[in-house]
Amino acid sequence: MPLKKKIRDLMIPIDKYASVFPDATLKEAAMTLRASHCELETGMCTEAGPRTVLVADENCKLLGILDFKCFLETLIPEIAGGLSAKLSALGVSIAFAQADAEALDESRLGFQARVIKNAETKVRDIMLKVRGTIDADASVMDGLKKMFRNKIVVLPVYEGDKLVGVLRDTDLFLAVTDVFEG
Amino acid sequence: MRKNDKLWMIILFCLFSLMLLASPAFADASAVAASDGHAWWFWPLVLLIVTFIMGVVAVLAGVGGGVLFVPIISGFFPFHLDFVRGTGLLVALSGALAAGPGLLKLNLASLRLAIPVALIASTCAIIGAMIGLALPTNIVQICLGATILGICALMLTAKKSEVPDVPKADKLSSMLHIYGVYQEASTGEIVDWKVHRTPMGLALFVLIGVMAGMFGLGAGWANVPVLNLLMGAPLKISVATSKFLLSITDTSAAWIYMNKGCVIPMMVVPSLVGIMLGSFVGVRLLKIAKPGFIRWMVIGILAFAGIKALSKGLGF
Repeated sequence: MPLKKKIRDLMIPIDKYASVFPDATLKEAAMTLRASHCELETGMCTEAGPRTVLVADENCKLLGILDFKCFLETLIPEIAGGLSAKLSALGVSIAFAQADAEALDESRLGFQARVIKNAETKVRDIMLKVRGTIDADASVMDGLKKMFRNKIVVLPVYEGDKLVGVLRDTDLFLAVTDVFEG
Repeated sequence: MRKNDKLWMIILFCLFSLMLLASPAFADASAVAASDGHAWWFWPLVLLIVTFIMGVVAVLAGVGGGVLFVPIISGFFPFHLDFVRGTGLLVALSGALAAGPGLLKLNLASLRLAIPVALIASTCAIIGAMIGLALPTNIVQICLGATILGICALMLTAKKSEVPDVPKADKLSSMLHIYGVYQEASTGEIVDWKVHRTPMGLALFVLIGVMAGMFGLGAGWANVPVLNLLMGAPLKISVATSKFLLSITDTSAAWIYMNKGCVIPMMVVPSLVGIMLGSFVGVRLLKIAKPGFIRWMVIGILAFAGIKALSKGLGF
């Protein structure tokens, strides 16, 4: 019965998951995610590769998570950012314009130059907080409850104090829809 | 920003507005507005329209909103100078607060440079605000006129240097660790910068602080030349740090004006909304074209406003 599986049966083991240090730049994190996402996509084409990167320190302590939205909001804040990011970008442009130095405003640079510049942002400045973890021996139902109650798409999986893997909404989707296959 | 944060911000804004609307200053202003024969909404509407145009023009001409606001509103509108200066400070402050977080995030506003300068400038801005409110209006009017004419001269003559040559950092700046690095986004070049002539620069910020507090002009017009030309900070760092600096300096002075009842919501709200909306439109227009005559026109208007302030103060 698929729903009798344990979380450890569904999770991606931590050694196969993308992770970066908090002091890494967004560019380094993006390259790591691209590599792991595409690698798993190729290897397991029916199950999408990781859509997030874990941020952990040297002692493997999980500090945060980066998802695609984090990347895009930081790389192209004028389009993907929220209202405050857009207003902030406008405020900077106004500051340079009012100083008669609009040529120095970086928002006037081309798309590529702005993305490259924004990619220098440190991961620790934009990472999302970890909102909930789950035990490796917990059931699929526990995973579903935790994911939907906390409105998240990935759950770090722990065995005692040790981070052992990551459970994604994709894994739960596959586990639940396994019932159709009898 | 999460939905809840936005909701809290809106609620706090509404509460703050209600508190201001309930203040005695608001009642006084309404009484004054009603007594000059116009409906209560007349002057706020005029302010909204004028400051909107001012916002557009300020961005296109390359001057701060506060620099335009105080001379023009005090020269051509029937408001007392104290209220105009109080509003002018908040107008300058709004632009600085809008830009501050972004400039810090981009690593362009340097905290190492801003903090010692802000300490001096904000202290002096408080003193300036107190002097400005204590002196007779005609004296302040004369000083304001002279300052505006000085700003015109500065706008006509001041040059800029993108990365000034600083052969050696002076002792004080080394002690205060005023140096930094930034990456030039257009070329990818890493620019190491340091400053010199720090004692002279800090001394000038005493004067800048007093003038910012006394006249409510903002102080970007003076900050940038001092940071860039005198102290040798790169232009990008100077502009960004100057804007960030304004948020500290003007806040200090604004408290004094607020405490003395010189911040009237009937003036402040339309002015802030107008200038910010105007600036947003100005930035969009700037991406299409920058008509050179606008700067000359602004210098002309400022010179006229300066002479008017002088003549008002001298009683001609």
